[in-house]
Amino acid sequence: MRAIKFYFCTLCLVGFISQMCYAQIDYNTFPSVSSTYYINDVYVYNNGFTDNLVDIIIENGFIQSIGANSKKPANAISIEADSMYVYPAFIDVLSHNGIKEEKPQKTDVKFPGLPPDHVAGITPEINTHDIIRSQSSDFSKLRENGYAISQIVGSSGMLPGQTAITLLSKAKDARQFTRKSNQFGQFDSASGVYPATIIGVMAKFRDLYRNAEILNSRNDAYKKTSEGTVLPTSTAAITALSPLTKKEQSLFFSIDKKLEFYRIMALQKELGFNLVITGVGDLNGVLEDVASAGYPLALDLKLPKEPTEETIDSTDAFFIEKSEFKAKRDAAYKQRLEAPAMLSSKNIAFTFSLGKESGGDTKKNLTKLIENGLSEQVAIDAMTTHAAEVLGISKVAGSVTKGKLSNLMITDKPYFDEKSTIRFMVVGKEVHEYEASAKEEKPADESLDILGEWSYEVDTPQGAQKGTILITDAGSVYTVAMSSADDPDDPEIIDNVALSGNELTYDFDMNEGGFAATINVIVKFADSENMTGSVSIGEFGTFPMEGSKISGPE
Amino acid sequence: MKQFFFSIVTLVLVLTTASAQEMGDLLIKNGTVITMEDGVKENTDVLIKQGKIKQIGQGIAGGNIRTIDAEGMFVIPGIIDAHSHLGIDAVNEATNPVTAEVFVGDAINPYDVGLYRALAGGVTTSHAMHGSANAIGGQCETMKHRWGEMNPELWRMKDAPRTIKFALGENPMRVHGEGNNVAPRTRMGIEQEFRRSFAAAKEYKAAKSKALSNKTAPPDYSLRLETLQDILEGEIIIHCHSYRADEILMLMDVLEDYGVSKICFQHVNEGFKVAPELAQFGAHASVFSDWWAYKFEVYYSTAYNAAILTRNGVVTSINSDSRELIRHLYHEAAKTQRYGDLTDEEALKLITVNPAIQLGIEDRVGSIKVGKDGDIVVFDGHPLSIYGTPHYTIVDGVVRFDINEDPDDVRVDIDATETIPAFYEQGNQDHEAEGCMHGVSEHGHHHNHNH
Amino acid sequence: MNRIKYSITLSVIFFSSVMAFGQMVEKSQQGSYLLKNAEIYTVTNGVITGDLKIVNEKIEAIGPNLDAADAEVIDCSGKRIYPGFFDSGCKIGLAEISSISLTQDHNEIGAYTPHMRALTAVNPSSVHIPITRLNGVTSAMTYPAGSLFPGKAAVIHLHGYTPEQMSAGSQPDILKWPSSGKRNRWDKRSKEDIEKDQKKALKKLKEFWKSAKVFAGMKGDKGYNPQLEAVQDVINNDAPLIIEVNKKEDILAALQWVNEENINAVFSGVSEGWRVADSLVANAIPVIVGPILQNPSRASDKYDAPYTNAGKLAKAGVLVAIRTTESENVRNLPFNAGFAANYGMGIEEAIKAITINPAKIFGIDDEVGSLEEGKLANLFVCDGDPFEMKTRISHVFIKGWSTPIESRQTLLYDEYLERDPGLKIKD
Repeated sequence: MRAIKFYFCTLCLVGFISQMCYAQIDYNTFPSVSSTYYINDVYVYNNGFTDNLVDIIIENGFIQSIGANSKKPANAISIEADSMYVYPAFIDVLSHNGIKEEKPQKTDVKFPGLPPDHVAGITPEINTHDIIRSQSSDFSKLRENGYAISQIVGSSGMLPGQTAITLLSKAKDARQFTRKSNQFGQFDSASGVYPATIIGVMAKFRDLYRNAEILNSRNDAYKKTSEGTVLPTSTAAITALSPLTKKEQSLFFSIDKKLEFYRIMALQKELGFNLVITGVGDLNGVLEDVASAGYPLALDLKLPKEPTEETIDSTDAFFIEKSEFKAKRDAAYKQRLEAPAMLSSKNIAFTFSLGKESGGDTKKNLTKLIENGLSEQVAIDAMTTHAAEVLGISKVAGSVTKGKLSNLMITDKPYFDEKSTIRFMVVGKEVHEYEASAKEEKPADESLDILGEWSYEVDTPQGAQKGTILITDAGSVYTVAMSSADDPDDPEIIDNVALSGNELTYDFDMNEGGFAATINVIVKFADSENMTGSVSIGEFGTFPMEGSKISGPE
Repeated sequence: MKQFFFSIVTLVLVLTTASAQEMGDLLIKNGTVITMEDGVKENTDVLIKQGKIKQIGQGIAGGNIRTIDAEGMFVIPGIIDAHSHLGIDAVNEATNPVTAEVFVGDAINPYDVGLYRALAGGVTTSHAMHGSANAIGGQCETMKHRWGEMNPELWRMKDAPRTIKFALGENPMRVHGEGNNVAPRTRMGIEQEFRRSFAAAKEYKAAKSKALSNKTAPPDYSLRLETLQDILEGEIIIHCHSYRADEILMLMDVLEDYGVSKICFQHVNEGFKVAPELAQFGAHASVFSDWWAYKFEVYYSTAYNAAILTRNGVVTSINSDSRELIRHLYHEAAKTQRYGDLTDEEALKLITVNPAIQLGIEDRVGSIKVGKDGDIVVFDGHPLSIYGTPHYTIVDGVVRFDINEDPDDVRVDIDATETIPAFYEQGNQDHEAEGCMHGVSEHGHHHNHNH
Repeated sequence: MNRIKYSITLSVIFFSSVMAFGQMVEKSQQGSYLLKNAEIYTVTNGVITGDLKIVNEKIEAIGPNLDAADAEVIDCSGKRIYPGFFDSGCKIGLAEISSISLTQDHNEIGAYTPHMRALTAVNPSSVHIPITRLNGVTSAMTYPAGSLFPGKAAVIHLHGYTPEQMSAGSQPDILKWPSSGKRNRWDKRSKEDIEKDQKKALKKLKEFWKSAKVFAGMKGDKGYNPQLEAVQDVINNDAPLIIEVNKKEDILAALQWVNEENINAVFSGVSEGWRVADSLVANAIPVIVGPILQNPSRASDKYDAPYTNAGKLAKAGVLVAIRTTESENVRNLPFNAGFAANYGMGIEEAIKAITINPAKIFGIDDEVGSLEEGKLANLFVCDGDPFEMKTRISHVFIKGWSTPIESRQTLLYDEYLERDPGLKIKD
């Protein structure tokens, strides 16, 4: 996806540029004609969609009105989004995109136990807005994937800095829309100097925090007897942590593995700061504890790589053992994907954070989570409304509401439709337009003659499963009857199966003994006599299949 | 058709269900109970209720709680390892010769299968220690082996006294002196680390009291000095990595000067040379059964160390400091019968009562006594015989290891991306590069016994 | 190596040679001994109640009521006699203090060092040796453990003033099979990197072997090539090749290679031998297992996998010897075997694994490994099951030498049990 057009048009901004460029002028650009936009006849997301088409008017980066049959203002520029779907743009609760980090200088530290704070990874005084790049492809990538706001901070050290809650606009000057900021922390130890371990980091955190509290009390004392006394001083780091100890800021803390959840929880209980946990991924075995802890959560939008479907040789002497390992691994993977749905079923609200990710997998990964039980609505809420709540910016962001920032994601089909494309991103005063995607159906491979009865064999941990597949013609599509050798008289009949290229894909539902799963079958015809393929049983595993034609059509 | 797929589903579900409880009820019937408190009792039952030993005697009826038939078997208190590094994600904050503020209990990792293997060797409690890189290392954690509990908080032995690691000799000298060219590089320098640290703690305390009485803001907070002050006030038991006789005497002198009395010397390979002094001070000793010659300061060791210390009245334990030895500490204790003729009672004390005393938890564990925790091991033969095998290991009345229900693969934290667990060439190593110097950059050294 | 380490090392060398003289109060004696009224665990011929007579270096007779003649009579009533225990893989004599690299003589630099001879570097005065003997260990295969072809091991008896006096003759070649596993818990290499490294090392192995075979076929003056020369005994099937290999897949690959190359191989380590016992039996490969007291190789392995490995292999029909891989604690060999015995191997098989089986593997079973007339008098007398800690060993004979039942560790015990003066004098 590539932005094909970029409308850049705000009166104040234009004025600003013209002043700046008074001496020298760039005729490769021209001032925008207007900062008012008109979007005609769209569906607006509000806990789902209704059949009602409405119009939206945007002025100066804010939603001015939403309603049916609004009149297009004379100065408005139209966004050609007729009958499209308008969502609040996504909010990333924490990531490291778009900044230029200064690596700690590799100076020789004489006493490794007493390094300068910046070498130790302790820089809570850094204002991330100062280190955001003016031009960054990170931001256009985020926009392309539906984001309009991201909370950004550096990624190195235990306390990399104060976050920047950033509008992902192309224009540098429009990015800071709130004075809110938070601290960010992680269990990232220093290399070769104190704190070099997780235990050092935790001890150092306590030390810094307690000293920030003491600084507060010294400052309070100073306020009472300021005349003639010396202003309390401290290190830049301790001074910067003062707002955290006063709960004027929260600590957004990124965890790398589940044990770190317990560790930051221990620190929070001991010290009492406001905590938001980000990067929450694998919760296998600890989900109850995380759910009941009550901290705002931002789940990691990065998912583990899908396990590769290795076939285990059944002649291997340790076939059973390996099959068990595989079953355990698959179960762990499945639990990981189901964790958001599980939290949701316990009414635990959460949002998502990108961390070190660029946002490119957002739709793919959200879709995976939805396939594993998360509702679309909860997913959208997590990416929008709840994200705004966690960042404390609900007044201006998180929904398509009159008076809020005009941060809109406009898609040609509902977002989670496989074929949907983001066509416009409105980020405050900017409008970015994208091309429609051109996905095509593969035509059926005409040379194949697949009609008839086929034998198949599926290789599973419980041995080979055999049976037959009968394919009959039903006009332009096929009817498939799949049966098991154990029970040949009770085939599953699946109608309306189309051949795509050389592939026949169909599924049917199983509901036995209280367990429901969808059986998904892919048959790939090598020619008119031989086929390979796979059978997936819900999330319990995918097993290879092969087969050959027994007889042609009767 | 569907039946077949259904069976695959149930297979997967069986593999993923797990449950655990914290406090259990259990009756162990007709065993030979080695109480370590009140002699050996034949044909005796032990009843555990709500995790505590409720009754010891004959013909106890337990109702419908789980019952273990221990006829012909030996029932002993859960084994306690006073020196381990299992179940923690960090061992050495090796950047400073004094790091009293760090605490390995901050980094408990209960998913390490080494802990299950320790349970399979009858170990119910271990003392997870900071390493020996620093003269004053970090605080340690006394853990109960509640395998299967995913929450690290549940592994802490609540109310166990705080402990801290000190270290003398080669390890701190190598890390700071040789490694970083920062004092201490000698045993002389190490002595001064203790003296300057305790002096600073006293000054800190004075400054705090002054601020309190003047109602002024307190001095800069230092978790390090706070911890050192707690040591001076007797709230933390010192466990000091040590080898040579001279350095052991040095530390006792320093502690005497500062009025500190709670100390257990760890390894203390030359403790046998100063056993009368250790006994007089009231210092404890936690030793290896037979490790020696892995570095110069343990070249003049003897496997008779534990026996000499015991006979001289020093409260002595045998520890592992190793994920290998922790699996058969009962065998390590038995070595004192070959090296020094200890009695069964004396040998078993080395891994039960005595380490409990050294960790300050003797009122909770270490013997089979009514009111103590239900931590028990059931062996099929005498625990000091090479043919004695642990069959059940029980923590708080919960059977955490049962030889009859012992799956091959006990991992509780499964990687969602890797199928077959990695293979490690351990047989090629004399010992693992494990233990006290874990996490120090030099551990990759080919032949390493940095304990 | 900095100066401090260097000077420590020098002082160690100095001290250890002094202590080697100082540690033995008694000298070993050789002559005629009649061990009377013992339970004689012959290993190859059951348990015989009777006498065993040693004359000079050999067992002269075993039987009831032997004639003492001028032999010193040792009453062994209620006692047992076992053949001396044999550690099939350790570093004894090649390593003194592990943390001081200058006292380590088992890991030369370079992949191709098959010409390194452990026997050259065995230190007869190592303080480890008398300490080891006291637990009934009389013989050992002490081996270099550097890289691919680390050198030739030395099979030695633990008595003698020179390496030659200690040598049991056999000097088998060692090959460390390139592993597809991780080295240890701190090995951070990715799966792919490990695979690459193994591939590279296997290529090195095969290239070297190809050259060695060409060398074997050369006629006339072959020039000075000690590396290729060193493995000719294996190529000519005059000596076994001890292959250190542990992981299942590696064991199978090594099997294939030795079959292709027609090598008389012994596998050592074999920690996953139990997974492929059938293949080892089918190929008649003897194995040296151990240490038994080590951790399982995989997080998913059963806790007792290393304890049961030797027993499983023996039950399947593999010829099994047990080793410690230790240097200072080779004295734990009987307890390694004891654990194997308790975890499925049985006492009898476990005794064999540290007596006759190693003797067979190293081709010296006509000399040691069992109590038989005409064999070397490598044996010990004890008062019970030698795997039990309570058992006491009263006599250890090596090649007929009655060795003193004391070591630096027992002398320290004697001196310090009741130290005099006791407490420090305080004013």
